[in-house]
Amino acid sequence: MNLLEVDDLHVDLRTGDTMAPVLRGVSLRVSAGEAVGLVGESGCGKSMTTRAVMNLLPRGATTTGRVRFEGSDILAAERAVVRASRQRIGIVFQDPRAHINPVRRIEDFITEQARSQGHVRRMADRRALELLEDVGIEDPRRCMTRYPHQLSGGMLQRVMIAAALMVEPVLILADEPTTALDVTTQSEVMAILDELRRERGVALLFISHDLDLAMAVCDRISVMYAGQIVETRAAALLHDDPLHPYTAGLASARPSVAHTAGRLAAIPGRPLSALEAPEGCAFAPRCAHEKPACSEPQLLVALDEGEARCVRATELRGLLGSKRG
Amino acid sequence: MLVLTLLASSIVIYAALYLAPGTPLSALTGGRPLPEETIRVLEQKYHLDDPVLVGYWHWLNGAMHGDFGTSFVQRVPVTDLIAPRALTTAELVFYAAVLVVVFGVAIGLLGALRPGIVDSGMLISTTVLAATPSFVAATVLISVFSVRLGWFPTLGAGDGLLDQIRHLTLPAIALATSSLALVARVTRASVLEEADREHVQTAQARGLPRRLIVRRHVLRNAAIPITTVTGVTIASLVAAVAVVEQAFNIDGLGAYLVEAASSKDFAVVQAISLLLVVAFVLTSTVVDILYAALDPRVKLGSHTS
Repeated sequence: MNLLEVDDLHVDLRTGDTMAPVLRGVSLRVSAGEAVGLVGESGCGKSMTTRAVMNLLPRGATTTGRVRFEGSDILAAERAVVRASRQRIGIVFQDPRAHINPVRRIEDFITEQARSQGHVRRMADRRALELLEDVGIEDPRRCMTRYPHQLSGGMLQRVMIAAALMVEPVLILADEPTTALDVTTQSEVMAILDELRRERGVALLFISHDLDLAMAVCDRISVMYAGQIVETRAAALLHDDPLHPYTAGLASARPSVAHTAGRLAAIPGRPLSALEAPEGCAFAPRCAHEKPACSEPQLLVALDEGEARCVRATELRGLLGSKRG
Repeated sequence: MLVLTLLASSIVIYAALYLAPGTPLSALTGGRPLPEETIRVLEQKYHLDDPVLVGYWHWLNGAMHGDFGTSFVQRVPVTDLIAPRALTTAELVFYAAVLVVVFGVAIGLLGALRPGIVDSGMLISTTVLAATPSFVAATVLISVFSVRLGWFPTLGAGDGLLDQIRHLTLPAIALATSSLALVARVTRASVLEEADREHVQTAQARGLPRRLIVRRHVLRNAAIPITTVTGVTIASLVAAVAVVEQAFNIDGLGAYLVEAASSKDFAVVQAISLLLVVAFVLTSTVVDILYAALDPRVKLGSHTS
């Protein structure tokens, strides 16, 4: 059974007097223990998708479609049901320094959720100490007594991961968990998150702009563009055999460790927001393979165990793969 | 820092004696022509012929031992004149401060946590109140609650605890009005700002009950700016107390300061001014200590005013 099901989700945000679309029909599934990546450039709607999953959309947002978590409809449920669902989801945000209350001790942050569920402080403390050790903090006891400003960004993100695991979640939502960290810390934190998740069989919804990083930790990846998913595919196939020209562009726009490329292939133009998107394919203006048929509305078409929102997907198959080989 | 502030203000206060129009001597003599002999005796008694610095030293030294010299007008030690009045004023300021903290913060919270009609009503009324000078508030309060309704006495400070509270209620309200409105507005703004922070979003995402989020994350963090503003506002009550004491004919330090200034009783003016400065500085120091206690990111000593 699917743990999380997002079905044809549309979200409009209020900007002044008008409503601006940010999500235009997003569908997504995460089954128990599975790791799913949601990849795209900034402004494509990936963070808004996670906020919808937590029912934490900004005030004045309107939604259509459905978000089901463990069978309950999150967007329509009563507050108590929503709260109960949130307590089964561990969340790791991009910027731990902003996302952890600066005036409370680490101990307080980690154990707060468990204590609000009626766990005894002593038991919560013991579990917190174990988890802090699991995420690689050397002196957990000392860490517990510290304030956030006394820890480095990498340490704080480990604390956040430990806190997410405190209540034995079935799903971890990680929204760009390493973007605010420096490169060496990034890989450590990512490895910890990946390892702990696998050990415990917790599902992961991983949000990132970094396709390679997502491919390293996820089983399946959805690529988003202008408020829509343009391709969903097994992570292993995405780099060498992309179905959508945008995915191919993302893959070749990243420096490779194995090859020395002369100049990185950037995607021409700038990303469109959902608001600016034309009726047809939103990527067409930047696409090297544009044809008149691209101005028609595009549907997600199943193709070789994946899905792509491109009329020419079958035609272009094999021509898009990484050109470095 | 604290000592430096006090020292600087004591110099300004003492120097003001020499800058004010008319000499202390003419105040003492009341303008009457006196024989040389008498003038010399007076000058000696009040250290008027000493150089400024020596005079200042005499005065400061005395002040530190609680001796502010002798009143030019009443010929009694200044300390005996201002001690009972200081008590009255302290009571009035304390009463007003309690009103500012309790009602200012409560009204602000109400506005922040109950959007809609409660919030709009709070915004409008605090705007009006914040712009009301204390003498206007005093006049309105007297005419409504003392004259028309007869609930509270108009004048004086009263005797005994209950009677004093009854007498000081209207003056305390008049003194507190605009500060209370200011604190309410700052409370509202701080709470709304804190409620929008990312760490509050984290708390929501973790499924904590709203009650807990408001108390432990929103209010706890908003307490930091609220304390700062409340402290400064309370310190400023000390400066505004003169007007209210005049309006309600309360025999406190403020009213006496005005009286002493107009009769050129410099020893009294200096003593009261210094006392008010001390009160102001002490209040600010307490606020700084509280601030450091509330915000772990602030270390005492790196932040003192």
